Amino acid sequence: MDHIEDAQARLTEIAKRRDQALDGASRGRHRGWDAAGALAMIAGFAALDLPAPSALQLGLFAVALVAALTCFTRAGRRGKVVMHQSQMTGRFWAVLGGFALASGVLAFAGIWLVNRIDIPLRFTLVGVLLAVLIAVTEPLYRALLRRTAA
Amino acid sequence: MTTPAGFDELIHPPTRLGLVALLAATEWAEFSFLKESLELTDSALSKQISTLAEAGYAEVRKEGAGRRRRTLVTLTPKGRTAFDGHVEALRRLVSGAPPAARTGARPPEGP
Repeated sequence: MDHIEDAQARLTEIAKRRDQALDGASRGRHRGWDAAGALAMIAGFAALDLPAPSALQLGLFAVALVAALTCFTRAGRRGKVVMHQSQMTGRFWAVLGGFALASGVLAFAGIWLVNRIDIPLRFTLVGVLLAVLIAVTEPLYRALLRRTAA
Repeated sequence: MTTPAGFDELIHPPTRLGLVALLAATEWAEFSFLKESLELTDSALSKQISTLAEAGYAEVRKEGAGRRRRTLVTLTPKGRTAFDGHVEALRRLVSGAPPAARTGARPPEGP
């Protein structure tokens, strides 16, 4: 193999290892903190089902969402790998922001929908569905993340 | 062949390049993750990390205690600069640009 082919092979290897690191940052998250975050999020939605004044419901909802975000962040920091800031490109933030936005839109759509259906624990159900949706779309998130090459 | 500027013989061997490339994409990584990703034994990975640490390219720190104890590996700024320079040198080789002077290249070394 001449030196140009060798250099090309090494660059391919570097790209492969970068993908592996990004995969590791996503798969190697701390499961306990991730689970705590999902529970806090569901608890936040469940607060909207409580027989309490709206202000209290919304206050509890906000506190629970902040707690969920804290847990999710901790899950990343306590994982097996933490991504370097050089990998957090504009495209990375676009993917992350896109997923956050999609989750927010789905949550609002869910709340709008269940407000028109009179079923018990309807907001809790939205929270559970959102948590499940986040979990099942993780492979898609990982696939998109691989396309955010620095 | 003339070695392009930035080409680093310490980083270039495949196993070590894989290790440095993994570390370059991370702030830090756990020893177990590196071992699984590179499919190396504990001792083989320790040897590679020691070589990098001796050159001032990597740092190892241990956290926690008992079952929660974990070994974290990180690239130092010097290691990151060397890796970036090496990648740039490889790109220059591939693009066929005329190689620069040998300055900055390390003497050849075994894997």
